[in-house]
Amino acid sequence: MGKRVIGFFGIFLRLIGFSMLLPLVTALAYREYSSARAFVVAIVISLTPSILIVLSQKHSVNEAPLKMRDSYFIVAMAWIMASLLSAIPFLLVGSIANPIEAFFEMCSGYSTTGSTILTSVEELPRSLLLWRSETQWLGGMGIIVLVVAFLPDFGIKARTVASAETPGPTVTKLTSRFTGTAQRLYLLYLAFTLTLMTLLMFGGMSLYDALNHAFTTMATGGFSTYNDSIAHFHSPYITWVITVFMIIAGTNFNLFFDAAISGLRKMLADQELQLYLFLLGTVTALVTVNLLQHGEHGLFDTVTDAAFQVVTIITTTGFATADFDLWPAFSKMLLVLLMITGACSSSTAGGVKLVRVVTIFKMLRREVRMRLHDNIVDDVKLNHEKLGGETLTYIGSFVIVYISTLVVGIVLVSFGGSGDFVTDFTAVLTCISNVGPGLAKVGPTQNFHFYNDFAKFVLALIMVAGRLELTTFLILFSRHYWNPHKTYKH
Amino acid sequence: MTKEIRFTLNILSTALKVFGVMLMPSVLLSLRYSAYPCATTMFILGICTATSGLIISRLIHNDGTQVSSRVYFSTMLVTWFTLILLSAIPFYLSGQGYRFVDTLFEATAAWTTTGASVIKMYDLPVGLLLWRSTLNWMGGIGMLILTLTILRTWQFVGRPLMKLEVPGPGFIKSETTFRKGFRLVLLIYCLLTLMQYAALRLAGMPRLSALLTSMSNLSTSGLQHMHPEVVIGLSTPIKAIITLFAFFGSINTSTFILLMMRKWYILRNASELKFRVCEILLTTLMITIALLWTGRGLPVLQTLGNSLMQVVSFTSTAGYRISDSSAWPYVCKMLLFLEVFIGASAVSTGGGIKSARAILAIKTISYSLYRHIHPRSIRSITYAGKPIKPIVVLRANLYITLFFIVFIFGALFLSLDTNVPSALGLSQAMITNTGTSVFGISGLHEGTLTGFSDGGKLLMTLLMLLGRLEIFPILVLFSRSFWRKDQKTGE
Repeated sequence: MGKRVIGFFGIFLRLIGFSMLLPLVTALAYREYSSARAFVVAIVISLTPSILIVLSQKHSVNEAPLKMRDSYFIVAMAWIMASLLSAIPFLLVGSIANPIEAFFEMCSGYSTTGSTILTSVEELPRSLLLWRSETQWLGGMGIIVLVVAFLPDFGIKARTVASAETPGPTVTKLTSRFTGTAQRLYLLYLAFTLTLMTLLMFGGMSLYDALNHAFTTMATGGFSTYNDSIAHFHSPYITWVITVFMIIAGTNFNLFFDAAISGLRKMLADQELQLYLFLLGTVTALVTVNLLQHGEHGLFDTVTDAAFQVVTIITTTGFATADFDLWPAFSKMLLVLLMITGACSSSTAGGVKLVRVVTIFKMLRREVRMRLHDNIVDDVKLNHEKLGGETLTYIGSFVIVYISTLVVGIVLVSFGGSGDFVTDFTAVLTCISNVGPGLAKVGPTQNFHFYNDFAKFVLALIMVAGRLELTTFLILFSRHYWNPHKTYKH
Repeated sequence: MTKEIRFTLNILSTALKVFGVMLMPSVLLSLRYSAYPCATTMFILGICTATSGLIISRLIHNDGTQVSSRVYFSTMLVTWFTLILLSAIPFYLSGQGYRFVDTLFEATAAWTTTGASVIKMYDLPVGLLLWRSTLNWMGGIGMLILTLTILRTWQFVGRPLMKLEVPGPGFIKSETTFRKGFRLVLLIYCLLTLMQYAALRLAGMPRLSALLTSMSNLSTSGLQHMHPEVVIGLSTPIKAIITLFAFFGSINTSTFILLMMRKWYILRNASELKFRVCEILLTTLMITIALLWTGRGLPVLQTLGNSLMQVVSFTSTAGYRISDSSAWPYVCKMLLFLEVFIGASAVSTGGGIKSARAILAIKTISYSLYRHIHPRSIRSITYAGKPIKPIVVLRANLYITLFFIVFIFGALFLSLDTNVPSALGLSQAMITNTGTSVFGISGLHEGTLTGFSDGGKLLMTLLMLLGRLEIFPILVLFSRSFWRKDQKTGE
């Protein structure tokens, strides 16, 4: 079993190494030789152990398969390791001198959060910026899913591992083998990214900018190459193109296959998608009205800003076209609400996920009925299928874990030196839901630089925990995990 | 007249009788202080309610048959709404020129034991002050319990109604019959009030002040009848007594029942009591360390005492400021802010999520991690040494989720009136029935929430009710099957 874990990390490290080739090429193209050197060093660091593992592990096929617990370990470790390795170029170039800050930035990258500690993004070499965006793209669909999709089968139950990483309570199998599903998902993801890139270039973006923004939009990450984010382009066309693709990225990807096979009607019958579209519509309308009341001018501009910000928050992307921290309190609270819900399951978005929100509301409705009528038997149904008691318990526990992580996170981060309740609250919320910006001192025009190292480290871990659906990550802190034979007691 | 209506009227008429009688002390006090207009209104109101209660109960004949849960809900809501409306009348007609929304807010705050005001409480005429404290006192024990204890046919109907009324999931079943339990709860409540009054008098508090304090404090309503600065200036023994009784108000009443029945051995398993004590002590310790660390120049013992009193005040959802906590370090306030959500114990006079549910939530987290590691395990969560059905855990978790949903939506709509931090703080203060926020609320004028629109005040009224009645009874109003007539089943 141990050999399988090591074997996995061999392949995983190779993936990280190879994915650094893109920024390396960029560095050479833009003649950023110091960054190029840094990337070469980082590639060597990742590939050397990988090659050693491959050389030493030739005849180990008949090992015992992995247990559930090991797959959690693999996933959590892989994410931390990816963030550590990817931070190396930043440290070597010296763009981010503090290792904890570099780790924060890369956790923010892989978890597709988009929070940054950089006070000015534009000062960084272009290759490093591209690498930053690429980590989001890799993290968007899941690095582990990428491994199981395109690398040889090595005895790990692909679906088990992937389920620890995929957003949402269930993993849908579209094809007979999970590997096939993962491949399809990734190809669709790639196709969307390329389409978006082309469309952005039509809007007058350079190839480099288009690639960066396509990466971070499809991953619902939110890193930009400019300090003022999407507002830099002053182009309604680009704003709307990105809005539409963020909506796509926040939709359950499996539904696109459904639509392709059984038509659009099947896709729109999904209750999660219905709630998603409903929220998009209502909240945009509410924010628009609220902004117009508070003296914003021009209906089209206001709608554009409102729609973009609502979409970017609900899909947990976190771009900015307007400083929503200056918006009226009601609009801000609406955005906070969307930070909690997030978008659909099996998309690249974070948060609680709308499928859980739908189920929670259905459970509450059942609860009311159960209290009103003593002997009622009532099932909770989602998309006309009955949900089992086990699933309901899991969803109920997930929300409790989410709230508790939020609360504990706030207490820890309050030592970070912001001294402001809203700042800490939204900072932890934005990290756990992988959104990016918060309110007040971590607002869209601000950054996380002022926090002390302790708070940054905690926030970085919260981002990864949020991306891995909390339990996958929190298990590592459970005493049951480290004492496998100890009996369970309360 | 159907049996459902008879049932509702029976409860309501008894409630009206009690209400009328409870008005009389305030009338007498008003007469004593020669506040005649005030006394007249209250006297007329009291006579009217009491006689109408008497007449109704004469007219109807209740045979004490079983009715469905739907009727229990409607009975409770009708009783609460009627009483709140009636309680607002003395404030409205007091000749002080209060607006109706304000008096409604005031009455709701009093009934829900929320220590918030939109009018300056400490400037009120004495009679009204006592009236408000009486409301606090009755709200604390729950009007229905009061009613049911003296109701003729209560033994058939009491249990389901009590379940709706008493805050909290109520896991510790007291080792007694239901009938005895009711009487005991009322007895304990009265005894505690008297003890507090006696103790406060001994500590040198004036008679009236001691009366008002003992009535509002035991119901964890806060000390709204005193000016905020007066509260801070109280002597240490008085503060200690207030703290002790606020703590008593916030622990599970079954603790006292068991004590009175001399069943100490069961108390060893009292998870909630242990949880409350540990929570309070740990928080106090942390805050004391933080205060000493930041060097505020006070002796250790005094700092410890101050932080203990403040921690009890907030975690019992009483919400008075007994020491200068507004100057505390930010981290301490944050800790306290988050603990207010947990609030008091189940079956107590306090609000919040309740510690029983908090314990279950903590166990849920541990259990769900365990289930991920050992997916085929069949162990269940235990509470106070006994296994609990998954559906009970799920319902507790759902309640916590619902609590946060209401909190966030409350803050959302309050933000139309104020800024984001105040909206969050205010929403928490209302739904947990604390009345104040650790962080302070902007737009607060000498402790009163004057600067809010009528819509905002009504929303706060709703939030207070939601928090006090544990959300679901109000939520059923929005359910279609609540309004539909019961279908006849085969039974």
